[in-house]
Amino acid sequence: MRSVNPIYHHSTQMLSQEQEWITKAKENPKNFAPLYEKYHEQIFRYVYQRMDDKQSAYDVTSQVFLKAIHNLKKFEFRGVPLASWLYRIAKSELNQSFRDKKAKRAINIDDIQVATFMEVFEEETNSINKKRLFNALKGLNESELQLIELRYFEDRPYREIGEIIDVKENNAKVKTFRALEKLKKSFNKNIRL
Amino acid sequence: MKRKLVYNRWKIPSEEIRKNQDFDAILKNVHKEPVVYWKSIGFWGTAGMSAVALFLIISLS
Repeated sequence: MRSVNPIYHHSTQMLSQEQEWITKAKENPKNFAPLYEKYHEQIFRYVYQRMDDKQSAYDVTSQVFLKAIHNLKKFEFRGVPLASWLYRIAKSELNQSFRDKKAKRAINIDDIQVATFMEVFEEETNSINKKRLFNALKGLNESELQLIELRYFEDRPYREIGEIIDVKENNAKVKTFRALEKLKKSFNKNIRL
Repeated sequence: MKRKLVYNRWKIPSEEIRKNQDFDAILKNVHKEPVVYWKSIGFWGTAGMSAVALFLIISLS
């Protein structure tokens, strides 16, 4: 069974503590500090997973927090961690950065993730299949790729994925399944590589 | 959007990420942000002067 991300998912007590920090930060941006410390690494890793350059990833991460502080007054607490809102800002800042710098969108994958896909596709892990998988990943559209990354690269539960992409948990599950099906179809098309 | 596949990249340790935290720099940028025009003195100065001028024109005519 997939474990629940302990940093992302909070107890009721932790959520109310977060709500308190948000209320204080709305009054004075200086009070955003504990939220910045709590989420900086998570947001950086999310950004860097999708970028090739480390320094650019740090810059985008800073931009995410700057935007968050500016727009915090519009934020309404709905019982989910602030992280889901920060991830949405991060996604938009990433797209902006790709447009401005004309940089390539990176897809970071390692041996363990390749092995996971081969297990799901019931295929052998070898160099040909690896190449087929890479080509299939490049063929996904942005939202499909995002779902595959959130679920299979970053190992997030559907509840968290739903909160990040702003849909219900069940809907996130269906969408991820469809993205995986498309990936599988594309992988099987690349059989002659 | 162009895509680049990166394979087996070295994972950045948490300590390194923590060292790059700089909340003060973000706060500085928060304060640096330009004031929205309608909130600026320039806007209210112009609007106030125009209102006074309009009032004088109407009352004197």
